Amino acid sequence: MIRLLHTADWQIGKPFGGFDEERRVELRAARFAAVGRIAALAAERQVDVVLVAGDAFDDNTVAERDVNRVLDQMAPHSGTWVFLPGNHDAAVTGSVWGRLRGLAARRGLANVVVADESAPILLAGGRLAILPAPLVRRHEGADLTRWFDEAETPEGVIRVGLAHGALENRLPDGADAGNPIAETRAETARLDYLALGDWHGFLAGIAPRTGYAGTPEPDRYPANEPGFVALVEIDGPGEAPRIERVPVAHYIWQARAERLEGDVEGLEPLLASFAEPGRTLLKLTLAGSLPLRERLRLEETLGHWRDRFFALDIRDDDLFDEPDEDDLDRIDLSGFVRTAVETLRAKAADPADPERETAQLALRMAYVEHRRLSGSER
Amino acid sequence: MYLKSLRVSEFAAIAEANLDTFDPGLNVVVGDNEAGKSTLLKALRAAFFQKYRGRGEAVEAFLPYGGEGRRPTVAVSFSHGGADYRLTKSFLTRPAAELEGPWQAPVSGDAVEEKLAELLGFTHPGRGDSKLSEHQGAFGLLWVEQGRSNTGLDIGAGRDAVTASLEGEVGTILGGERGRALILAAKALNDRHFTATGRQAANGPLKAIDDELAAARKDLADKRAAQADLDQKLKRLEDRRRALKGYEDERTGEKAAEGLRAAETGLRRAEEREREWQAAEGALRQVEAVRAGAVEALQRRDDLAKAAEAARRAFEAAAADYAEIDAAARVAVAAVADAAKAQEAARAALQSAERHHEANRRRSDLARESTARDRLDALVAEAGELTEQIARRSAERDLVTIDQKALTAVDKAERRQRDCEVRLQVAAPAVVFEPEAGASVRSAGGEAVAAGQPLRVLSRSRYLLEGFGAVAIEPGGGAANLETELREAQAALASLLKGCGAASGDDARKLFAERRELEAELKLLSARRDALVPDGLDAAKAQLRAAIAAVCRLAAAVADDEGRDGSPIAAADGEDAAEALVAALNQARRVTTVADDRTKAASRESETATLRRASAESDLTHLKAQAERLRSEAETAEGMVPRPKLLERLAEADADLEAKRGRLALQRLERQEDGREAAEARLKAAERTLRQITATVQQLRDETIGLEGEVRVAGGSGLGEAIQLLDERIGDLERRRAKIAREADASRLFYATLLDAQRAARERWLGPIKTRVAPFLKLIHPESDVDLDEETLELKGLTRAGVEERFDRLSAGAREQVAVVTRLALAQVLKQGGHPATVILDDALVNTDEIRLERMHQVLREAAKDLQVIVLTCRERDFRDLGAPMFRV
Repeated sequence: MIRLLHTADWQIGKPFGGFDEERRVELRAARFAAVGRIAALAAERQVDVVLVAGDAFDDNTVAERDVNRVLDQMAPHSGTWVFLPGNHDAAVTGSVWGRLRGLAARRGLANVVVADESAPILLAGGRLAILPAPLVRRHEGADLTRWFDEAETPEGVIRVGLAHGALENRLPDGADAGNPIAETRAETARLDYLALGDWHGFLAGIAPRTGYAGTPEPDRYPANEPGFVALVEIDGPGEAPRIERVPVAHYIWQARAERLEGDVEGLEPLLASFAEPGRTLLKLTLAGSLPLRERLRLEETLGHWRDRFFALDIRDDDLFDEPDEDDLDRIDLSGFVRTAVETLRAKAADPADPERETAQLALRMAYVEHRRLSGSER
Repeated sequence: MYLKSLRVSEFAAIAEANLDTFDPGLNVVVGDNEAGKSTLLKALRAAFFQKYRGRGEAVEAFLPYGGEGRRPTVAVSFSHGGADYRLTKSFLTRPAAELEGPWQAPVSGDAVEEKLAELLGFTHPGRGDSKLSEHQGAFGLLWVEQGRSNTGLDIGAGRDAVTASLEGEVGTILGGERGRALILAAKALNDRHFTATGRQAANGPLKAIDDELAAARKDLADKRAAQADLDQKLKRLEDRRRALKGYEDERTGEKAAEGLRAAETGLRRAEEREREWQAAEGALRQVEAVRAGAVEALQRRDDLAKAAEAARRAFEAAAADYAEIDAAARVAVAAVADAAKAQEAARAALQSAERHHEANRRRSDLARESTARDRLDALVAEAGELTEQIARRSAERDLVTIDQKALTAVDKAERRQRDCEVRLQVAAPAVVFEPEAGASVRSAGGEAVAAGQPLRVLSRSRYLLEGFGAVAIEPGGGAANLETELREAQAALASLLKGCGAASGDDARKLFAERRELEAELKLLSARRDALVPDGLDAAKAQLRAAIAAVCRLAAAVADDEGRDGSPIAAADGEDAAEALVAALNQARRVTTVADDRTKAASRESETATLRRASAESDLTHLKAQAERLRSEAETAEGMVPRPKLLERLAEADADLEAKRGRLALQRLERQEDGREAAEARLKAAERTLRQITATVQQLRDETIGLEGEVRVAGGSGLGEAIQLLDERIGDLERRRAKIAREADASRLFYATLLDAQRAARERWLGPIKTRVAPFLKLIHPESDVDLDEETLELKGLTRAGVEERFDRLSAGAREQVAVVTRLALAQVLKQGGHPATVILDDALVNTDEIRLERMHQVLREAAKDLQVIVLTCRERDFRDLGAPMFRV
């Protein structure tokens, strides 16, 4: 029996530029930590080999220091690591792989294998043949796994394909199809398992004996299921693989959309429903319309939760203010203030006014300031 | 608010003043100048606005003069908002403050200040003295200090109180306190983003984010450039590696080396062929030489035979020619002999003719010479005669020696002598002897000297006076000298005459005339002789001698002619004979000349013929020898190698040549096709190719190594991550910027809208104020209206009968009246708003005329219905009729 740990898309060196410095540092660090957890898991489960199905690095110019940190994190698993060049770290001239090899050699590590040639690699004492399809440019266009079909391996050897790209007709629309992989490859190439990378979600059994491990540490607000590795056991050639999904992620990335019409009652329960907001990144898209008083409540609510979540990304482009008479009653308008507010309301309500949106925001300001002053009076 | 009482002690000029029970309406406080009524107002202000613990210059001024240790104290009772208060403040010495009010216990100390500020709506300065316009609320407006009544309203910070008060009246139109607070809040929001002039604030959030964006974009551009550079290098590296691999895979270098070796072999082969070709060409040239030799030998042989034949024919022709020439030469010799004979005969005839002619000529010469001799003989005789005569006359003349010169000297000596005599006669003393009768006088010589006659004594003279003795007279000086001179002159004349052989001067002159005549005669004779013999007598004599000799000679010759010939040619005489002789002579000469010419021509012809013959003879000899030599040579050659043999040799050489030429042509073809030059070119090309390939491969290796080094450095720099980070950050910043920009726009719109609305509302504020001013103003300035600044509420001017007049250009009286009535109106507004509104006027109407003062009384009475008004004045009379309680200071 052969036991493999299949992972992919570590994206080491991803910068997270949309976050502030503090979060950036933490998110980057989390990716190294994920490698550490994978190594620990591999050691614990005594896997024969760890397959990294592409995009271990976010870019070929990844800092030397980061490569070293990866090697540090890999230390717990002294068994073989097979790295496949993906589209982010294609085996082009001057790629990260030359440096990885150099650094591994310098450390005296013999267990790091870079699969940058389309030739079978025999491992586990000759019981396992890895057929890699390395990318030598970012987008190949052609199916690099075609050669698997004709690849000769010794009798009785378990054949495992290792590729990076989009399995044809199996992924949702919108998946990057720059590097296509035939959906029947596992069958045509008589593979016992086809370990894939590029799709960041975990997708076991997407095709017979074929699976995506997804990224071990999520790096975006996904619709798929990132944060896992696949532990694959294959008893022998032709035997069906047993695939176990093991969670390794630290951060939880979530995207939610909420429609608010008239009040923000539903928001609090939604935000409270997250078990661990401290390691959750939430992208919350708000739409609808709110009277000004509710808008203020919304700000207050979000202000509170913003500090509790690791990151709270509010998209409220489609959330509009709709001041009602109640709002105006509340702010006890008189004199020129009323005149001014009426002017702003008229502008805010006029779809033809070029300053409409500005007027809406100004109206909210008027409301907020007025309420603030009223509050201070009390 | 109204003041109920005021007590002041030890305060500046006031030692003690106590004003009890102010009326809630109109009050008049009277005091002379310096009495301290203005100090009352100062004390009142001190009580309310000056912190009791103050030590500033303003507080120091509270002390009376020389009042060290005094304790300026002010106590005020007042009612406000329906409650009564009593305020006491002491300054400098044991400062204290206390405020009694509607509380259980009085407030004291610093709390008093706070309480007062809150109660009366003013503020304390952070530091320094309380200022009218900033800190004292509406009290600048209400409490009018002396001299400020006509400068305006001093409304300052009271404006807010006024407007706040007005709002009570105009209701919700003005938006109230909250409206103002909102404007301030909106301004704060606006000011975060914009400057006062509406430009983007330099320290605003938008600027900050723009700066950040610009920096990020620049950074991104730099990073992108670095990545492009890296990509390019990677591309080059890949390219070089591929190229290098291509060279290695195809074994380009080895192939080129093999090519070089093949080319070297080819060259060696070509060189060998070259050598073979050169040998064949040498052989061909040899055969060609052999054939040329055979051809030449044959040619020589034929030429020899031809030459021998020609020489023979030439000899025969020359022999024929010679025979002809020889005959001609003989004929010419005979002709010469004939001509010589004829010439001799002609010459003999000529000699005879000449002789005859000569003899005749000598005879005629003899006759002519004889005649000449005779004439010369006569001439010489006459000339000799004349010469003798000349000699005689010349001898005569020579006897007379005197000449012109001697004669002149004689004349001169005579003149001198006479001159001396005359002068002596004049200079010598005259002596007159007058002897007594009978007595005589004699000279030393004994001659008697005539008596009674003057006698000139020229020299020392001795006279013998009878009976007396002798008298010697010696003329002195000049007379003696003159006598000497005279004697010398006489001697000289005598000597000259003697030389000439003349007795006297006249004789000399006669002699000279004789000599002149002789000389004339001599001249005539000489002329005659010279005419006869111009060349002299001797020459004529020589000619004569020559003529005599010539006659002798000719005579001898003629005699000789006659004796020699014996032929009677002497008979030929006369002109005709001579001419006939000449003609014969000429004839003979012509004949001789012709004969000479003929002889010369014959000789020349003969010489020519002789020469030709000699030449022909020589030619003949030469040709004969040549013909014989050539014939001999031809025979010898033929004897050695006969001509058929020569022909045979030539045929053999031709055949050999043909064969060798064929072989060489073949080799040339071969050489042209694959010769040495082609092989060398191939070798060079192969060398170049190898060199080029080696250099290219080396260059590719070098470049690859260099690029690998560069790429290694840049490769691990995290460039991609940095770019992505910047991209994402820029996206984030742009989102934030858009949000902030929206906020900025909104805050500006919010603020601007509020300001616009406020401005519109303000325009309606002034209505109520004017409404209150109008009744007062009507009393003093009918049909007029005040203009107030809507912003500051200060007085701008007055509109009278539709004409706008600026406040500062009104008269002092009008200004103070308008200001006072406006203050009163505003005080009413303030009171209505629940603000303290007691009006104090310190000598505020000093410029007002009596009639208007009367009317102002009416105004004050009217205003005092609602307000407490306290008038401080030094002119009691002005306010006596006001009907208000009077207080004296």
